[in-house]
Amino acid sequence: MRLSPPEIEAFLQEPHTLVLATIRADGTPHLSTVWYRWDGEAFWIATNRDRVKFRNIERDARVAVLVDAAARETSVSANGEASVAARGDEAYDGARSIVARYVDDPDGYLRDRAGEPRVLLRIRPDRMSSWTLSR
Amino acid sequence: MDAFTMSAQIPLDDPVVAGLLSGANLARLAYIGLDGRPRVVPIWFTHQAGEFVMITGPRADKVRAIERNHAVALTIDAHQPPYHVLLVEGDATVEATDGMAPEYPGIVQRYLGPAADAYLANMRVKTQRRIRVAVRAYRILDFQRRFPKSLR
Repeated sequence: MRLSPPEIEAFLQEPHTLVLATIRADGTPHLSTVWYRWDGEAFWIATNRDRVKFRNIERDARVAVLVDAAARETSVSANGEASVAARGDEAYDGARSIVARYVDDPDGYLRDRAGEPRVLLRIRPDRMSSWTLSR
Repeated sequence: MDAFTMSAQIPLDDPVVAGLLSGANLARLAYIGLDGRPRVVPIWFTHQAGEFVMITGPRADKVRAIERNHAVALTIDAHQPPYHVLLVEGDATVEATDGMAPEYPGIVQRYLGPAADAYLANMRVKTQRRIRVAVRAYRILDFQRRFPKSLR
């Protein structure tokens, strides 16, 4: 059965991983698992400009996302277009707010990766669905 | 292709692969929807004879989409750190079964354990669809020795 809107909000605030599907140049799907933050309207993802997922999104912004908790048979999936919200140093605060959901020392984590061509992506869903078995 | 190994055979003796395939981890299956946009859904699977096998209903959206576009991707992840990941890209075929797919009870048993019998007893199945994924390329991440490019 579906989750209610408040249940979706609460579920997405938990620090799950997010599976991101993009489309490769040859038209085939590409998957990667990433950390994310949900702000009530959009998913935020930090990545690098040299990553396959970012090159795919530059060419074709259409993506699908899945956040799931297997043990609870609970998932939220969505479709939308990804847009670049910030690059380089301007992406730091956004990246930090994502990383802080998962590690105790987000600044240390980002300092270790300071040389990367950071980019912050925003995905606002235009279609969203949910599923759970645990009620 | 990026850091993928082009091979139809994933190394079953790799400890990360063996761990991910032996547990009750979900697969996340990506395909291209009929509208041309990507989709990604969680799905139970089994691995047999070198292929990933998933069973679904005859009216599932993914069945019609995959019948039109065979290219799929799978990720099988351990949900807890250190985040073991098996990524697979391949080509899927869809077959109709007469009654319940013979591998389906074993799949349900793997995921539901003791609750499988009751789950199966409540099903009324005339036909199912078997999605078979032949591997084209794979990638293993364990975040200990094998990292994504950005973390190396």
